Amino acid sequence: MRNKLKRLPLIVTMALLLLGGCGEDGVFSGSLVLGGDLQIEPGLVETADVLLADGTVTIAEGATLRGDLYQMLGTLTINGTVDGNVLLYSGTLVVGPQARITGDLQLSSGEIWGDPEQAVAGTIVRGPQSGVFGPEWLQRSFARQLLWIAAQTSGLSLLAALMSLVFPRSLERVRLAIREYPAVCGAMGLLVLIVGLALVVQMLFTVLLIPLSLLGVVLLLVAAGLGWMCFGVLSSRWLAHCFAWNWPDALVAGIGTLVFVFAINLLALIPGIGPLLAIGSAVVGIGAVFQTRFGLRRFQAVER
Amino acid sequence: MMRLPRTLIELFGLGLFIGMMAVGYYYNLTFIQLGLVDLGERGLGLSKAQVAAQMSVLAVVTCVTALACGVWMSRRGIGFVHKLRIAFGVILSQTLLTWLVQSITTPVQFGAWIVACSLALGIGVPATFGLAVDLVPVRRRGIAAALITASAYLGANLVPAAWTIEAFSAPLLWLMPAGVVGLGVLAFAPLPFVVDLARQHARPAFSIGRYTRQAPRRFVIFIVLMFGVFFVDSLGFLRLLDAPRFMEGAWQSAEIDPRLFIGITHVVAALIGGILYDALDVRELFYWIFGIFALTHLMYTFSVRSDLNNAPLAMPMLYATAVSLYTVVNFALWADLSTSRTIGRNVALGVAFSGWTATFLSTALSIWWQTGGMSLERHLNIVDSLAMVFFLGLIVLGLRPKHPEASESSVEIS
Repeated sequence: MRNKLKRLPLIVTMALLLLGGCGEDGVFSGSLVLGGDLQIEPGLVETADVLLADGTVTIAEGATLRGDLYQMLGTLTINGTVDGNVLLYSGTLVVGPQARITGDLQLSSGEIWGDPEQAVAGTIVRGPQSGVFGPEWLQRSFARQLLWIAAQTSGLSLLAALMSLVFPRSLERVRLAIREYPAVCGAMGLLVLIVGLALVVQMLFTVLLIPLSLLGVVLLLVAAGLGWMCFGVLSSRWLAHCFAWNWPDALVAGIGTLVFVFAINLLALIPGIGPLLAIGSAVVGIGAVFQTRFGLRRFQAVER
Repeated sequence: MMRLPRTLIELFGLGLFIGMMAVGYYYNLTFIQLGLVDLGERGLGLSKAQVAAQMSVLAVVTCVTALACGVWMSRRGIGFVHKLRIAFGVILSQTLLTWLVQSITTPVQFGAWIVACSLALGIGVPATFGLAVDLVPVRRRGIAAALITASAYLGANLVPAAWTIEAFSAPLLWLMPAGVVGLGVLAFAPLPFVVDLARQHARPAFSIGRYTRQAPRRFVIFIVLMFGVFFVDSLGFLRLLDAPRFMEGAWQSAEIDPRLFIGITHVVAALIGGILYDALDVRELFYWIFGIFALTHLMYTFSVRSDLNNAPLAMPMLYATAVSLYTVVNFALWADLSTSRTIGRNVALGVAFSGWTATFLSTALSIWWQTGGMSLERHLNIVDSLAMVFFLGLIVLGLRPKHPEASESSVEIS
């Protein structure tokens, strides 16, 4: 009973963090087009985000799509209204004379026919999207960026403090893996990401395995978060050593994570090296989490 | 004469092994595996089946020669300098054979030339792989294998602009003569540091591999696993080679970008493989290799079923990852199972029974299926199932309770 009560704040924090993932429009709804045709007829109003993986999507004159359109491949013809953003990663986009896009148009690569300047009410962003923070992020006001960083940082540091109370051994095992075997953890993290992301996308295509795919995404995110927390604990030990703190472990873990995540978020704003540092630490963290089976066992490399 | 510091000698030996094996593997990947097919089909007008039969002859002759040479090397206790001299002879004959390729005009000449190539390859495999116990310390075998794999695959993806025998032989005719001169000096000139290199195998850092003391049982399991890896890769890739929609945007792209992407993937995956090989039990790498092969072939079958016009680069990326991982294992594993006395025989058994036998059998099976009219989807489905069988088999084996002797021996090694 005592243990259950001990874990209650952790569960509540995790639930609050998950709630933070829900957008203002409530539960996400969307359409995935893998092949064939999807046509929104004149006069119809569809509310959904659309991911066009291949095939054709046509929004006829007088039709309205309320949601964002993501085009990976195939042909997208817009001659009606898109009440949202359009992101063209690859494929062919045809912008008809009656087309209207209320949001932004982001063009990574692929072909575009017609005159998007007339149709787009927002901005047109050209070139590949790079780094952790894309143009959408950069367009946000500085105050909003700081608010987001503060929310993420405080959420993770609170979670780190709670984790060090409830699962101190697990955090310790991941921390040790990062400290003793950073290269091995980095290699494993990269492998997990390469294969994990491909597996997640492949399961998405089967439709039947979409829940498993979402579970995979959640696992990867949890692993990245846990990894960052353990980096935080690692820096907290260093801080505690430098400033001769004699505070409770949970407080030290929380402060360490706060400092680390805040620093990483700030560094990520530096073009080039910043996002690399953020991604690199996440990769090493994911590797450490997988090597320790989410902190369930101590990882030790084979000895010669 | 002044003696060089030991670290410098070690580094030189490591560099020599990496350079020699990288060029050798590049030769095998491009000139042998792809160039001979082009020479037979385009140059001489032979049918696919005829060329495949010649490739099978190559696999069998290489396999038998490697076995004979490897066993002979182990029985005679061939040392470092003699291995260098054999390697010198092999590279010299391979250079001549590469130069001679322009004058092959008839199927008979082609057949004779293939037998000559097989003999050189068969002798070269135990001699060059065998140098690992003399030149690469046990703790550096993973990373050395990674550097060999990365350089060979990056070169193979970038340098030949087209898959023709001329494009494959051109860079080799620059690289190999330089190798002949370098190896000739090392093998025949009385250089003092060569004597130091020749003594390295006696040091425990070189002589006791990770699995040397567990050899007999593990050796058989590793041969079976490596056979499975080579077989799955070869059986799948042989069919993908005949599917232009999967090749033209990837390995055979006229543009450099996709080939550069695949080459960089090979480099990254090889480095991952090298680091993980040195840190984990090799069984864990086999899980990844078979798992990735299963996922990749599943993606290819989905692509065939959905009749997608554009095959995403994620598929060659995963394929390259699996290939790099197992190539790293192949370069490091046989030395880690051997001593300087047994390396020749073990490499010959390992490479011959896993690599060449798998290539021979998969080539024969692929031709049989293709002539029988088996569809691409079904072919890839079977390859996918095979990878899954190995993957699940490994999991089942891993769940089995450990034999007390195995636990003891692993304690002994650590």
